[in-house]
Amino acid sequence: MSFIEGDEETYRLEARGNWAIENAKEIFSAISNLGTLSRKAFIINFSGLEGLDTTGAVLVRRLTKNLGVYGLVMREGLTPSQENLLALVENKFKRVTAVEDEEAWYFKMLADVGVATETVVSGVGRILSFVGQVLGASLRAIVNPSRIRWTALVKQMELVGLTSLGIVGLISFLIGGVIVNQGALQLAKFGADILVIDMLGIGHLRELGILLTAIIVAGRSGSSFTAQIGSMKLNEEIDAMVTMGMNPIDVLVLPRLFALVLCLPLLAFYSDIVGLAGGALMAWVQLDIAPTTFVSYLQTAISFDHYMVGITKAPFFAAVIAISGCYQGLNVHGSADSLGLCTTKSVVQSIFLVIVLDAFFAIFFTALDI
Amino acid sequence: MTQAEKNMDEDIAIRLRGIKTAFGSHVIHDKLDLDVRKGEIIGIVGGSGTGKTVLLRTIIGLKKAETGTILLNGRDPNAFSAEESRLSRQDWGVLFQDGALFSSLTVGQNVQVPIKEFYDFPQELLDDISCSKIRLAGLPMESAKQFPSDLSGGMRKRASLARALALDPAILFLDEPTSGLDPITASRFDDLIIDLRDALGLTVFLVTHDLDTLYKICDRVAVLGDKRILINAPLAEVEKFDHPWTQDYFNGERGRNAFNVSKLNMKI
Repeated sequence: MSFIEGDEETYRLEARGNWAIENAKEIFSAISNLGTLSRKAFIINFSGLEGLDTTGAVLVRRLTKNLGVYGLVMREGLTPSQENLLALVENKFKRVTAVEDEEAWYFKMLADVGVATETVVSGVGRILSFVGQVLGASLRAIVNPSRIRWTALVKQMELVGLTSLGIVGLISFLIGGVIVNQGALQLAKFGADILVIDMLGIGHLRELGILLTAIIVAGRSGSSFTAQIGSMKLNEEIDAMVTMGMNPIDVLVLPRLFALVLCLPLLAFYSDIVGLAGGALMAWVQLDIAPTTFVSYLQTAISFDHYMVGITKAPFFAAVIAISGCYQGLNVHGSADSLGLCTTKSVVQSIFLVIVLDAFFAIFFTALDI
Repeated sequence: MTQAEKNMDEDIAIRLRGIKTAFGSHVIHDKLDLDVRKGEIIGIVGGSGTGKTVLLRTIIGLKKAETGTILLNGRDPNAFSAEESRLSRQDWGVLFQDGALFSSLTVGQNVQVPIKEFYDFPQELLDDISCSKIRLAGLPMESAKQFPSDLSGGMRKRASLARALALDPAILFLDEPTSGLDPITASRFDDLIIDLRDALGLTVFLVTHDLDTLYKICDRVAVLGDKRILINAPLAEVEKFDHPWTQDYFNGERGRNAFNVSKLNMKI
């Protein structure tokens, strides 16, 4: 079916068929295909129309505008309600022309570099100021414990501590077993397979236990901090809080920070014990070392310092995870996209910082000869 | 069924029979019946918590009714195949209470989303249509390039209307469209709904608290209360309806004012 038919002699066009959204593509191409016309006036007859919806009206406007370039355009045969619809679409329409970017490419490049630098510098500044605010609020809360929101703190401890026992335990148990399994195979080449207990003890207590726990908690709790606070931000709940005189740092950040600082050492201890148990089980099965032998050998081989090195790191890792989770949450603005981006950032950032911090601790403890 | 009844049936855009909805043991609607005729603007009123929005969500299929039948244009949406169900989405547009615009898309892109879902149009035509709908809804052209978070509450509402109108739906569901708008904008909104109804023959299902809107544009008013529709009739009859809430609502101070204003407008 043809939707427009032109008569070259009389400058008349006939619009036919149903000018509705389902035919819009064909009508659009019919309008585009009218080509150059050497006429000075046009009459479009719409009496053959079967229907007109708002999309159809947009197309009528388009046709009128296109023909208007060549000369005068008149329309006839529209019913009053169709006229009305056209008036609705036409009166309210004014095209704005986009302002073209006229800067030269080398200026744009310089501008990009400038913007990127500024983002980095101001980002570092914002993080530092946030850390400062959190430290200040923490000190005030420690001096004056009535400021602490105990209900929220206990709730957060349940969420970040108690409910992650399952996954932390499972992973620690498996890793402990795997270390003994793989280590024993290698050490057996030197006939020193009993040393696998030293390896497990030092490796798991000093590094792996706490690192694994911190990474699991960063993925589990750091991301949920960002998502919770971020969606509150999107919902203007944080603004509401501020207007009620509540400080979001006291209300949202401190309970999470304290909960994590209290729970991560406990989780790390738990991970150490479960990891050793995994190793002991594997040693029993693979190397036929009875658990009692395992424990008494462990006592002579591993000094208490190794355990302390691991546990000492826990509160620092906890602070890094909680602060970067909450900071990214408060950074969310505008859209769901931003929430997703900030959650990703929070997890990546906290895992990265945990590993960097762990490297510094390794250097530090080596220097102290512990 | 007589011929007259059959004709009447064809005139019904939305038919609800014996609808029961509940959240757990909390029953919202029970034995609810409602007919909405094609081409009419029906206003749903009722106190807070009587389930106006739940009713709207039940009709568009976002909430499942426990019992009862829903017929949209004579067909039961629950009996649709997956593809039919998808296609039937072209037949209605919904304006949610808080706009529910996609926050990661610009307003223009928001309006284009439903069109792109169903049609393969060149970008130039898409831009033309989306800009027109945005202007139609009473927003300035510049807002096509803005993100929903850059707009005020009232503008978001109009952007959402532009999206609801994108496919020229036969039934338009509006959930409190004029709440939070200034009176002038609200009045323009009402005019727009009437214009669209007259030009396109839309059926409009309007949940509202706004008495001015009720008096100005609604052909019929349905009052929700006691878990069902108390009355579904033209405004003049509803005003006289003997039910405490209805009497308070229409003959209270605010009701009287809206009534007087509507009379004044008629004289002018």
